[in-house]
Amino acid sequence: MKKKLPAVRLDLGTAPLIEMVGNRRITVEGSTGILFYETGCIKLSAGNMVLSIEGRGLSLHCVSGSCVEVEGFITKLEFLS
Amino acid sequence: MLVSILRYIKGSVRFTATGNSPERLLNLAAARGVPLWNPQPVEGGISAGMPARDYRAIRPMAKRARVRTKVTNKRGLPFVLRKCRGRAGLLAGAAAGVILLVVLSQFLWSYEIVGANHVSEQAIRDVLAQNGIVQGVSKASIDVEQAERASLRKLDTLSWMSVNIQGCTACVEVREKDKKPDIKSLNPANIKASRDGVIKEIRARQGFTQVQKGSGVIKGQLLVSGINPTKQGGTRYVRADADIMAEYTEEKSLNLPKQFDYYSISENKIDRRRLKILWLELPASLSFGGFEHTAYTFREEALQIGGKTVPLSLRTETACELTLQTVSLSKAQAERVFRRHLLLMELFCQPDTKVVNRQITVKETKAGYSCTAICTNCENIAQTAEFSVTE
Repeated sequence: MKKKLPAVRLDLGTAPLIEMVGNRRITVEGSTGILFYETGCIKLSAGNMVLSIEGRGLSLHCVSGSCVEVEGFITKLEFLS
Repeated sequence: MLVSILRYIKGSVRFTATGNSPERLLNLAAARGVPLWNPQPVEGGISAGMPARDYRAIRPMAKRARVRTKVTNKRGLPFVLRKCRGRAGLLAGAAAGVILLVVLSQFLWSYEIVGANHVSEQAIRDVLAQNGIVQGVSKASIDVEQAERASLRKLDTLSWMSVNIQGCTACVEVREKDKKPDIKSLNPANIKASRDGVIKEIRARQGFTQVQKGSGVIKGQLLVSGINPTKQGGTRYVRADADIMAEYTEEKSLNLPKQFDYYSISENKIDRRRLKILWLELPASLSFGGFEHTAYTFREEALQIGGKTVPLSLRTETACELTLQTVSLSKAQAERVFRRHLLLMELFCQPDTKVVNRQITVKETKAGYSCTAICTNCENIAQTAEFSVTE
């Protein structure tokens, strides 16, 4: 007889999906907006958290309703809240 | 690349949004599905590109985001066309040019023949024209395989032909037939005299000479034999080979009238030029009038651009007036005419014959002049006559 496995209780429905290619490109799926945009720092709202990307020559490569793609030389990735 | 082309066709603008929170404009545009590309932070705001037709749509968003937008660059076909709005002729010309290009590309502009070294190119062109390959013909009407087959059937000197149509030009590649090699017969043969004469020189390379220098021979006489009886009582057969130079006399005569008419080309000429575009011919000069008797010459000069012949040529027709002239011959003139006639005869009819002596007599008759020449000629009278060994 098969054993019942315990259900996964983590809720990942609202969490952003962050994908990095080295330190040159970062794709954030599930972003709800851009809060701050400068070549040295980009802050993104991602559900109930704020994602801060710091680096040099940062630029938004693609902006859509739920996805933001940042390119540049990324030096720091920080979750502010 | 494709995206750039599409953006150019649709038209795009680049704008700068300045204010307190230009990022909000980006969020609002993204939320409403307005595409923005390449957003860049600039002093006091953000610069981004977008489709030209969506620019009006971001005005309410800019108001909501409390930013001011300003177009910095316009690019694309709609803006180019807007500039040409008052110039209908320019657009009509461009459209006519495109139509002309499309229509003209349906025809064969020119073709070249490659590989014809000994066969006349004009002969090949004539046969190709009979089979539908001619300058200015519609490409759709050309049946290449049928034309190749039919042309090869008519041109016996060609062994292979390929018509390759490339764009508006064609390359007709031909291969000539190889000539049959001269196969020397090894059958035994005699040398006989091709005509009567007196032998002046004998150069026998093979065979057994039956005559001597100074001998008089008649046509068909055996000169060099290919049969040699051996000491053992047998017979040896060879193929006789020799040059037998013999002298003979020949009489030639020509009757010339004292007075005769002939047409000569005068200085009066009329040039008529015609502009030829594919199959269409238009007069390019105003030359009227004509002559009673005319000889025509034609010259066609085709325009070439970058080594390619374009279907534009100038055809010049020159009409030369022929005038009727009456000539009266004196006896001396008649002799000169006859002498020239003899020289031409010797040059073209007897190229291998050496004239040793020539005696010309001109007699005046009622009808004109009777010219007679007694020529002493020297030529090779050796004629190979094969024989069967079984005879």
